[in-house]
Amino acid sequence: MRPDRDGGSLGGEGASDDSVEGSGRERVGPFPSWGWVYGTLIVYGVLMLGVLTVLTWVLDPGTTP
Amino acid sequence: MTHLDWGLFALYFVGVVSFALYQSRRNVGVEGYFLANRRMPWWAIGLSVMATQASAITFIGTTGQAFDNGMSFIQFYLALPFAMVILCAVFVPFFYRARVFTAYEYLEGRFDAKTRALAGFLFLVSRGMGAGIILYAPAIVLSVILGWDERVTILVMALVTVAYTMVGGITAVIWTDVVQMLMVFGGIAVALLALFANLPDGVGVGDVLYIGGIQEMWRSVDFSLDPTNTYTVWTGLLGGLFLFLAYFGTDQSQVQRYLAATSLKDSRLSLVFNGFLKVPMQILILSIGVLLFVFYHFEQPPLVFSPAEVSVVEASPRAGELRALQEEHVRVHAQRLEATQELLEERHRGADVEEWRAVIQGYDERLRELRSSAKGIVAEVRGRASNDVNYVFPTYIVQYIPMGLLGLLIAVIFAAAMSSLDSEITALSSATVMDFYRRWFRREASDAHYLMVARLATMFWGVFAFGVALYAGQLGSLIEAVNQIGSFFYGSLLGVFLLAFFVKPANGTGATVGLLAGMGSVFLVSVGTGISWLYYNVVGAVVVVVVGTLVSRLTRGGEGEPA
Repeated sequence: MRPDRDGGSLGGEGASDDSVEGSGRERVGPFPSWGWVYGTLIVYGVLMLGVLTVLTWVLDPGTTP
Repeated sequence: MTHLDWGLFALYFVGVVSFALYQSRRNVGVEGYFLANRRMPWWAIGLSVMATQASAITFIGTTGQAFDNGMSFIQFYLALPFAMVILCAVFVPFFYRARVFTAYEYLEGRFDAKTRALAGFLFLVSRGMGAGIILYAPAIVLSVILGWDERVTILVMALVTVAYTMVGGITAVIWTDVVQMLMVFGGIAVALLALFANLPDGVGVGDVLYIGGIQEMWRSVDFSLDPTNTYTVWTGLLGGLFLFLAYFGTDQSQVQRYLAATSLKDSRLSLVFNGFLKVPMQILILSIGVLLFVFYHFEQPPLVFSPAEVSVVEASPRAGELRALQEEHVRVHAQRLEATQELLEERHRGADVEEWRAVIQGYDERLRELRSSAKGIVAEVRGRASNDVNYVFPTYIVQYIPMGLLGLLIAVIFAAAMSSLDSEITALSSATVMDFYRRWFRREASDAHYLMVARLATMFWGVFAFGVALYAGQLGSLIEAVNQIGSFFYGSLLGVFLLAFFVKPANGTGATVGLLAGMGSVFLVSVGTGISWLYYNVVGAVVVVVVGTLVSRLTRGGEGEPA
């Protein structure tokens, strides 16, 4: 089997699937689409970095983040 | 260890084996054994993904690292949420829809058999070694707690894990991982609460934060651009991103988990779940280490926590040097204790404590120097680096954790180790059977035959891990050792998959040459430069993609690949 024979790039098999699941339009729990899930996760990652930076600055006043 | 502790410890072993066997009763055939017939729910896979990564090394080594160096290790995990997004959007759909058993099987579909074989071989070598180190970590704990020979401990744990994994396959592994991961969450909470409870009366959360801050132990981010420093934001974001993409996207021990999901949606959700929980969990684990640092302001810590390392030096001509350091360590600790109490009194009165802060900082630094000198003596006498960092947390729980909770925490450390080991040996077994045995030696055989071979392969990798574990003590800080072993292969493997997903004209020859070039480059970078090992993954992946693309273009037509 050559699952990616007709579409080895990102625009191939993964993205060309027309089924609802995995198409990006699928509803995921409270999120309207996978794009929202990914966006939330990215914002969460940035927030984590921000929170740790602020905590470092507050708890270790001698350091300059 | 009291009878109650022993009882809890034994209950864990009996419970986990019984549960594993119960859950695996519906497993039929080799697809059931390796992929649970693709019927696992996302939350179980999500916990299993976490349990696989969070081994006893995480629990022991990370707390010890935080005790010595503070929270800076958290930067290693900062890229994880971003890696999960890329994995869910790109990697998972390719694997899931290909209906493969292993990640490397996909490479044969996309490239050719030799690329699959090389990638599978690299996985077997690197994770076989990693499984041994995972097995060794709890053996350290028991060597401290029970006075057992590490080899006996390694053997006992390997036997139990291999037994339930052999019988139950991935179903047993995932469901026991769920239980074991919940135990780890409980263990983290118990350890944090016990540490607070063991602090002297009148020392509050604010005081703990303040004392830790004196030595910058809470410092979680470092924005310096030094590429030789492993623990900076940039190293974590770039090197960590590539490491996590490689680990979760190309390592069969993780890919096998989300291939077992009921649907593509479940596969993705299991990784999203991990992306949200992993960083907070690591913050809590590292906090245990910093709390230990604060706790030992009020209690005399050992200069060297490992009794074995102390014994080795005491039996050497340098025993006198170590004794002198220990005496000074006790003296400086007493001075620091006095200064800490003065500081807290002043602080509670609302007075200016800057002077005391400077005094304590001086004592902290002197104690750190003494510990560093002692570790240097240990390393010179033993002829290899001290791994005392792994003994900090075990020593604390033995001396200060109350009856009952000690048995529970020991069971948690075992759970953490076994939940990683079982996943590794199942993954090693699946790659051995599907990528090598069935592909090269016996293409047509009954399902029962492959199932029997799968169980034998599981047993073989258990024995192999046992053998490696016997020598793992020579590898220094365990957590770095596991990641460093992976870094020599991971980046290059990631490069091959990136080539497969993104470079349409790439062919098998390009992928294989690129993979070898990537590993060669990582080797040269590791011996020729001082950059952090986290960047090895970036180097390996980039070289594979560049070389693989060039070679594919040069050999285009020869393999009939699409242009």
